[in-house]
Amino acid sequence: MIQLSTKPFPLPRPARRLEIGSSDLHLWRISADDGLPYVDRLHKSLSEAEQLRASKFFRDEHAQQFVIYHAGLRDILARYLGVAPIEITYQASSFGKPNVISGQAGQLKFNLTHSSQLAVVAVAVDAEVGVDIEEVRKIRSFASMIDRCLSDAERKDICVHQEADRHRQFLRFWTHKEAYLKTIGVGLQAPLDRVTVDLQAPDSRKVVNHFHVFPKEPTVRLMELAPCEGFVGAVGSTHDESPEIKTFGWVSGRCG
Amino acid sequence: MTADQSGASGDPSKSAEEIQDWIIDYLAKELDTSPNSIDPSATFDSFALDSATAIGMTGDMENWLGKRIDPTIVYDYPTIEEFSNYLAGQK
Repeated sequence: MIQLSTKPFPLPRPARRLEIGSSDLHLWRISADDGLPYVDRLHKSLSEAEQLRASKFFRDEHAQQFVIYHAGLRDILARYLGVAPIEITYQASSFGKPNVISGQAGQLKFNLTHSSQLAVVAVAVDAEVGVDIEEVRKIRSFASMIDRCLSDAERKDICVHQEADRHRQFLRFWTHKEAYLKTIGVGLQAPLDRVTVDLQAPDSRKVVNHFHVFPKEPTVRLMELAPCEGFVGAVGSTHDESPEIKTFGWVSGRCG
Repeated sequence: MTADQSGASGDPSKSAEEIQDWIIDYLAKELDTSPNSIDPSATFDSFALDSATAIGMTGDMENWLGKRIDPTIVYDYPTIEEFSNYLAGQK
């Protein structure tokens, strides 16, 4: 289980470029509460399209979270690329997974997830990454969600758990599946009940059943994340060996 | 869009208005707000639904409409209004 750092990242930007090797997996934690005092400043580091999107949210709280997480993502990627956060441009793959296009960014891979007050960014080079976190909560239409999203083996596993733990257990499966699908870049267009995850298996064998459209290679490693109290999560990657994991706490006050 | 007619058991004649009202009521409950405060021309994106909630809503809507809904059509019909019109017009 990977515990995420809440310790602020010590390097002020732009002291020097942050190094990342092909066997590394970096995980950044972004807290919306920590970013809130800086939200106006962070807003300025977003692209016009992101600013427009931020202006459309029904709830101010969601707009603020959007600004903090996307400004945080830009600032984090900028540290690796040695460019200003605003200079970063994204391009979506055919299934909507974004990649960075600017300068030497080709090999830098990243993925963002957020739930409520928390976001996590996974970063790697030469390996695909996918990450998902969820705040533990009661799932609406739970019986129908279990039917739609879990395989037979996973449904049996849920039933073994005490009633009170079932929603949490469901979200553990959910985050592992979503991390897997985000790693291979297809997102939730996939039929979730056709993929089986074994939470007890070693990282490289957690995905035990692929729907036939998914490639068997490269192997996706799935690692469970403990983002913080009250959240569950998982991160997937296509590293050949178990990646060297480093975790960082992103501090918005130091940005810009 | 996949219309799985074989599994259809619900009323196929729901109007765009009925579908729109159903979605607005659903979102209002989810967001703990009044249905009047929800603008039908708003995008689903603007409500910041997490993916589990979005999949849950699609599932409940499928049960209500009695037909399969491909969750990815929301990219082509991103607002409540467009989505409802599409589903009502789709046989």
